Amino acid sequence: MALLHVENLRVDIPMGNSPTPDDLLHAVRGLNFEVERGEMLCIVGESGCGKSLTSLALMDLLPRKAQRTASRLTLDGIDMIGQSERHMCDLRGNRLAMIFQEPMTSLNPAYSIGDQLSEVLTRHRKVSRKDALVRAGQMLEKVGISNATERLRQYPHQLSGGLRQRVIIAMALMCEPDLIIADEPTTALDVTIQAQILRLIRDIQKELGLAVIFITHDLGLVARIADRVAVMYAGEIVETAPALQLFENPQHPYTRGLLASIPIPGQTKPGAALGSIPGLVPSLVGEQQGCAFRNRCGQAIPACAQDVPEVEQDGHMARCLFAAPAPAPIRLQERARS
Amino acid sequence: MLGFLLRRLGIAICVAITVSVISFSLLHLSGDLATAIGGPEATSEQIEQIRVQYGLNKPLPTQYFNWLGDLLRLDLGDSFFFQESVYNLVASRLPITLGLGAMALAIALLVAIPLGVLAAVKRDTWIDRLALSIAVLGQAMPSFWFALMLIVVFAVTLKWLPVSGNSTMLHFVMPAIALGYYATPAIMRLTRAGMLDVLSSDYIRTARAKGLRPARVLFKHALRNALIPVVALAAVEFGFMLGGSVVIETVFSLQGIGQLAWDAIARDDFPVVQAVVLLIAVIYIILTLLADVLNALLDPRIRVR
Repeated sequence: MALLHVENLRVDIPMGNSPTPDDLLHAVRGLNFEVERGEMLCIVGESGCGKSLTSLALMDLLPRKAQRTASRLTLDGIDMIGQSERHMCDLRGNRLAMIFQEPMTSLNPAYSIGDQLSEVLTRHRKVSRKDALVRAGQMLEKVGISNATERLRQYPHQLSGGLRQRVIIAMALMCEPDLIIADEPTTALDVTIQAQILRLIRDIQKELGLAVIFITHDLGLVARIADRVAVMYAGEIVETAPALQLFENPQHPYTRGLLASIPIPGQTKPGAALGSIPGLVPSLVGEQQGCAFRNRCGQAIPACAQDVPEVEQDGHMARCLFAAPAPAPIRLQERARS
Repeated sequence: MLGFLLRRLGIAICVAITVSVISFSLLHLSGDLATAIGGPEATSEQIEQIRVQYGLNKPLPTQYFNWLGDLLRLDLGDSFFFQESVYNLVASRLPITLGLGAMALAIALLVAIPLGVLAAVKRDTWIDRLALSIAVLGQAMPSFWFALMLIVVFAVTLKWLPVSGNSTMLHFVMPAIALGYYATPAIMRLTRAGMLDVLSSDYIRTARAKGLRPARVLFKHALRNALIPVVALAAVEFGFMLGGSVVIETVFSLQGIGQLAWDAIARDDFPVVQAVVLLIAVIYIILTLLADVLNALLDPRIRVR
């Protein structure tokens, strides 16, 4: 049984002061997905496609105005929809944790690293502050921070961005959660640090057998770390597949458009124009129907304006009338393995 | 931290010296002191005698350093009006003003900070609007009028509290409320603004993502950061309460520094005026220093480099 079940997750945001149903921004529109233990699921999509709101919805940390609904949202069999705020507090940081995008501002400037780390453990476990600090030191070493005892006494402003992100990762690991949601954890970092942090998350995920939802807009990064990929467009998952499958045999025109826009070393000629997707993302205010991508899609037919069913075969799902997922040719799988 | 303290102390001393020069100059710019001391009926021989007696015939820098030397020995000269040393005069009045100010500050903080936090947490609700309305009302109401209303209600009608005087603690309750109420709106608004700012910050989201209870998020992670600007404001307001409580002291017949200064100005009692001006300046300097130290304690970015 999968660790995380999400069925028909929606996030609606009322626009204006006295919103009518027509003024609802349907930011996340009926997501279905599962995450297995030990699996790295990457959610990819462009800015504004609802991927960050999805992560906040899972944590129940949405902005005040946003409304979350779902027909099912369970973590390890625990229902997270009907939970009181009190019970959600018990889960957060304990069974599911989050790594944020902005390491520079995600730590409290007024408290030491040791204080902010140990607090997670003293909140969820019956341990003394002293033992929690010992554990915090071990966690800092685990995320590759040397002279941990000294770092515990330091304050966030004394640490670089890369170090702060390591601290935030250590913080997420304090209670050994089942699921970690990482919302663009490397976007705000230098390229060299990005690679280090990425490797760190991947290594720790493998070592501890964690389930990770990794949210990003960077397909190149997805190719390196994902077990499975969900592509989001305009608040919907338009395609999900095992990573290899998705890259070798993309079914949704949007996924294909994204892949075409990535330069490939050795194949893309210098100076040649990269692929781009014409048109703009549709407004999500008011009731939506049909494929959200149809206005930008070269294949669109009148039937695309009706509800588009999900087509699924062997764990490869695409929400497109033209989708015909097939297993990737064996030749390609072997090439990827080598 | 020690380096920080020494730096701040150095600045404080520089400010104090500047204040002493300005205070000395102002007194000598305000006219011929000997004539003022002698009064309108003094003959020119008498004025000359006063000039010699008070050392007013010496060059100004000499006079300044003599005066500064006396000042450091707490010798502030004698009052022209009371045949008493200025030091004794001020020392007998200061506790009343300090006590009143401290009580007023305590009341202001105890009302303003919880109200500001509440308004921020319940933003855009009737609680928030009520708190802001009280703040506007507080800023718009003259303090002497508010003080008189307090007297009418609590002293005259209900007879719970004494009307005026300073013999018991009870005498200080109404003045402290009247004085504190004046500082409450500004502190409340700044607390509210600070909390709103902090509550939408990334590290509060982190604290919530850790599973911390709302109260802990609010009082441990948010309030400390929101209070950093409030400390500086509270220090200024406290200085204002100590220096500007003339109206309240008059309404309630409290014999504090404010009253003393007011009377001294009316009587051309220069040594007293000068002493009070200096005292208030020194109080401001000390309060600023205290606020800096408090801020450093609250904010490690100031304290640890």
